[in-house]
Amino acid sequence: MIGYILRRALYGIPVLLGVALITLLLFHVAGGDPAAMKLGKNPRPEDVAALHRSMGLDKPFPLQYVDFLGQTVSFDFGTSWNDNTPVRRIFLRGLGPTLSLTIPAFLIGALISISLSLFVAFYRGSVLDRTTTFLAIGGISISSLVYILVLQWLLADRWKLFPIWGYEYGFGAAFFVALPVLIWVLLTVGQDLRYFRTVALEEIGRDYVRTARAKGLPERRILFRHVLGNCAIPIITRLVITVPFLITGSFLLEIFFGIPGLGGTLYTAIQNSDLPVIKAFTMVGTILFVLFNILSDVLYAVFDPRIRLS
Amino acid sequence: MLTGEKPGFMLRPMSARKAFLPLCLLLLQGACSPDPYPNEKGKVLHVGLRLLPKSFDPPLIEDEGSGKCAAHVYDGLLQYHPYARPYKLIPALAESMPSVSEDRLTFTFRIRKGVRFQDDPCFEGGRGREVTAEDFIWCFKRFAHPATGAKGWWLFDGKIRGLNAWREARKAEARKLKVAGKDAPPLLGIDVPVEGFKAPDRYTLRIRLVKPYPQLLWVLAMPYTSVYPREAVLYYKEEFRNHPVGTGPFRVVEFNPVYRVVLRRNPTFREVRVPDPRRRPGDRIPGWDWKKDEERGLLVNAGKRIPLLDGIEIRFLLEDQPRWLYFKAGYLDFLNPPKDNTDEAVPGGKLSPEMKARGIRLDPWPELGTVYTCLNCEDPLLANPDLRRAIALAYDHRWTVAHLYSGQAVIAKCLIPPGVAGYIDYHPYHSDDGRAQVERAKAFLAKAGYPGGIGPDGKRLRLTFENSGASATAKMFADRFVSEMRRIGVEVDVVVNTFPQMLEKMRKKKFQIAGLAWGFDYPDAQNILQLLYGPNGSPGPNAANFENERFDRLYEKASILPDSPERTRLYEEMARIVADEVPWITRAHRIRQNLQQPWLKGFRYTETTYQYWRYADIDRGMREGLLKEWNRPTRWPLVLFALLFSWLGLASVRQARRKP
Repeated sequence: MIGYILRRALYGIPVLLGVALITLLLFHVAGGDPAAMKLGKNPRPEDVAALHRSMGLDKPFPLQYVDFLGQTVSFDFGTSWNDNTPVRRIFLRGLGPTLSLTIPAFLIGALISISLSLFVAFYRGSVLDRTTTFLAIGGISISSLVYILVLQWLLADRWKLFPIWGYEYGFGAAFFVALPVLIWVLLTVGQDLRYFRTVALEEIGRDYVRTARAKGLPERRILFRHVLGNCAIPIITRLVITVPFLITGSFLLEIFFGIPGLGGTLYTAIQNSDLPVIKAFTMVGTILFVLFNILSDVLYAVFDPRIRLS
Repeated sequence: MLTGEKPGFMLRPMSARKAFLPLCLLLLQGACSPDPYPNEKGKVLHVGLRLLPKSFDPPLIEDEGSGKCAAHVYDGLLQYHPYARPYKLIPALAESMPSVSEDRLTFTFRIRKGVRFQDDPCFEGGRGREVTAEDFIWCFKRFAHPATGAKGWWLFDGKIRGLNAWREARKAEARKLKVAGKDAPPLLGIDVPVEGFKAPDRYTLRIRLVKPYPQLLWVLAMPYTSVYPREAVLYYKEEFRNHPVGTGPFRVVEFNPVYRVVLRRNPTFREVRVPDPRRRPGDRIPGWDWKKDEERGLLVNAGKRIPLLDGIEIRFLLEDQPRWLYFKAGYLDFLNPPKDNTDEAVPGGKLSPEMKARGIRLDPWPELGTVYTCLNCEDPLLANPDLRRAIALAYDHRWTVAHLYSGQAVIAKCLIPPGVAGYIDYHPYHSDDGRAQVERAKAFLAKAGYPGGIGPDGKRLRLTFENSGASATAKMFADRFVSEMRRIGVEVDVVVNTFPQMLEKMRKKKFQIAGLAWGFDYPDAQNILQLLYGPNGSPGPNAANFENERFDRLYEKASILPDSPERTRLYEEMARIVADEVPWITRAHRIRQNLQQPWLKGFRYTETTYQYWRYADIDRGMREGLLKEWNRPTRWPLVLFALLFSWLGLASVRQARRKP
């Protein structure tokens, strides 16, 4: 297994090199001149040139690329061009608020979608199944921005059930992230539910379920032990692949609800052509994506002894 | 205790499951209430900004976000009067307005005695020391130092005696060290004196100029020239941008640049009182109609010592909807309604009945700035003034005001806004009512060599419009511009840019037409006229690359004159040249409709300066009462949802159980 993991990790290197190249290329094509912005109104040409030098923008492209790779290896992306804050600090500052939103949302969403999908698969054709399927399809057809705008207006402004905006560090965060978590769950549960229901239906129709029923096993045991156990691989794959996105956050939810997390930070960095921050986020996101892909493969072997990693 | 003895009261397992969802919802509802600051103590001003601050370091404060946050922590020699319009300067840390030499080259300030910096660990014993004239000199030199990277250097560039040479010497020293393979220490050579800054004694500051610079006094009221202790810069180093230490009425207790800034009252703030012209004749400054302001209720705090507030909390609400809803709920004390909510709040420029019923006040502020379309006069096509005139004539300015600004703007017929010396009602290529003049535009197009939009090569004239940002407003404007030009036979391609991309294109002169806006740094027309001065061409601020010998001569003449009828006449002449030559199509002067909660007192809104916040007060009792009244939760939807979901679950289970 270790050999497999190492080999998969090596396969990830070309992915990282490619992402780094595309990021830098895109910045050069569409990023604009951050020096002009940083120097404010009426900059002198020599000051712009000096700033280009200090930012490393005067170097040839291949050298900039090599620098970028060096930063990725050392995990030191320097300081933000926007406000000179070290990128590492920006990352750490935003991580807590982002996770306080995404982890509960992910867990609640996973719990609801898995249990509801088993439930509706078990009671296939019932009012609940049909209603749930209808709501799930309806839900995934609507833009996330619509959810945010409408639910913020309705639940927070009209009905005053949640705070409209804001955040507190520590336990106070629960009060402020309740509505964004609810929206995240609504946004993700529809798609997950549809997928998990299909997986569960396939399992419920298998012979071993019929045999288990014939032997008189309680339905709860059949559903949550046998069916769920055999559905684990597709469910885990889907959930594990989602994890990197929990760290990069949701910029829309964060901006609309005032959560000072990583999603909003990345959004602001793109607006300001803040390359060090963009580079850090892109590379961290890519590395996480590669790692969690490997993890999902490893989990296959853990959950299904028939699978061997080679 | 649940037992089987009393079946009537027994909570059976199935019932517990049924009760789970409603219980969860009720718990959730109990945990949530809309009040984002329920345990607040004291009088706190709550402000919502749509821009993030970048720095608290005065030389780096250029953006609105930083300026608004820092204005309450720092002071300079001078400040804007909080109420007087047209704007007036009054002494801040200066004892009085400066004495000016006859040749207008030397300004002498007396510094107030006994003013102390805020207490901070950067001082020995943590106690702030007294401010002296030397502190100002050190801060001015740091502002000019190349290592600081001050954004407003252009305000001092070539103005102060010996300062440019001093700056070049610092650059040369740094270069020398670099060649020798050494790193230049921060603020290398800052103690080397500058001829133009002298402190003959502890409380006297003398500034000597290269040539008369009438805008200097406005500059000395800008955040760049605020005073701060060198101890703080040396103690916090790079982190000084996050740890401001000033002399202002508030100090920073929390700075999260992506969420909020929390300011609390500075206990060592000097004695400053709200102007009280009725009781203190010394507060009646020429040109201020204080009786009118008294009638408007602005002087309710007259004579009281500031700060009247215990703190200010500034939150960064980047999106329009939450900012608007937050204000409506009463959690922000003042706000300019976002564009999409303007009709709801101030239809036709007047308060809506809903706002009136809530006791909200409207304080409209005509923005000191101009929105314009910049035409690159060095572009081979747009170098032709008749083509520029044709484009200007084809544009319908009424549409801009009505649709882009929801009526909250006036058509800009002159690049200088009304009310600023130099404004003229002369607009040869704007109609009186802003309507497009298509036939005249076509005539000018033909004169330019493009009859019907067809050039000498038989091809249709094609131009490129650079748009900044992908906002709905930017897109609306670009689409409209394309259709306006199509009416006269000109095709326009739109390129969407980020702001840095746009700046880069302008710096490299790689654009034809761009949508821009200018906000005045100080209320003097020179501030906008410099954008068309020939020697300021790209990569300088003259993005239009407009060159007109007469304009340049007039600009040079006016730039050394004090505020006077003669200077106003020169400004008017320059405005006339701009109107004739059309390097810009001036589009609008925006009006900010500032809404203020009923509990906010003594607050006059402006965007030219932000220090007026410190004169505000809050009626806390009124705020608490109204917040409760406005934010009562509606509980029935929760009960309804709980019942609905319970019924759905039960119905499904029953139906499934009936299955064979």
